[in-house]
Amino acid sequence: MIHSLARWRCFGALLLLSGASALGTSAQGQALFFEGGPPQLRIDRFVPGSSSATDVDKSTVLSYERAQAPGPRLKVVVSAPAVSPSASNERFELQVEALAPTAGTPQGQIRLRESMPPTDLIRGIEPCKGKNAQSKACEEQATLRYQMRATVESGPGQNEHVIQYTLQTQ
Amino acid sequence: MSSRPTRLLSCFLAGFLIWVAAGKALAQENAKRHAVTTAVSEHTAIRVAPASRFTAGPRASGVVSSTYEIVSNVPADQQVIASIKGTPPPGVSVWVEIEPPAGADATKEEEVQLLSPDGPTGPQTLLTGIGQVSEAGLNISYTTEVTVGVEPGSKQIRLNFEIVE
Repeated sequence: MIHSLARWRCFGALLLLSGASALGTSAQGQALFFEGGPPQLRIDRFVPGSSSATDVDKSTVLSYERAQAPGPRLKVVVSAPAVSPSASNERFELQVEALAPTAGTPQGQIRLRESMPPTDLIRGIEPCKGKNAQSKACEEQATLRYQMRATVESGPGQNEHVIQYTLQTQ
Repeated sequence: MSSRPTRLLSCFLAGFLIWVAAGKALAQENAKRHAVTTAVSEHTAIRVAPASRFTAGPRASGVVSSTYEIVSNVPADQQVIASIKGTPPPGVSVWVEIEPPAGADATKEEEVQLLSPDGPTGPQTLLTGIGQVSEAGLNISYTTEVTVGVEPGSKQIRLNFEIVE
């Protein structure tokens, strides 16, 4: 009887832990998301005498949530996971930059290469003590500015790049 | 029959595993991916700056120069073809000589005739071997000659340049 009670206690504790984890996951599901996009960059012409051309896309806003005080300071890192080992997406140069983040410090332009290690995009995102100016609990934003560059020698064509953003403890 | 410490340890271990799994789930939820499309269109263009007036006569050299620019990102063997556009005045001859961009060749080492006193000679290939190129300020020169039967005055001759594969 005593053993059975202990088992139920253990089961109950595990159930509570699972529930808390599930709630935590649900809350954290909004920790990082995109608004707008998807980014599409296209070069239709080259200026004669110039060997390269560029295009810029600022259609996507990255929303990220600060940790609740006294939580940790966070950062956003960017990476470009390899989609297919055979597909080469290095034909055109692609860079990303976080413009005017409402929290944290932007780290400038980052060259995106397939299988690159995670690289800091925004650092120093301080924990949140209450609501921000938009009355959204600790939600911050930055415009993602993508820039592509192609050379005359890279020829015509199209590439799909998968870009991953991760919010993590700094 | 397990002892109380063993049961506690089992419960703690199970809890730890759930916590680790939840931590992993949290980490996954903090990452988002999106696709970025980059594309480049085929672009081929040649632009010839207008030449100054050709003057034919006793004190005229009959040669005028200009420049042109050319760009192509198409990885193919292309040519520049020139022809007379519209109806030219009779009794006039026009030759053209063009500086090839890097990697290309002029069809002939001398000038190519586009117009004879009897009329246009038809489309003429000026350059071959044009690949992926982007150059500006290349030289192009025209030589004119008129027969004595041509009445004095000003006439316009329009030339057409195009890049073809």
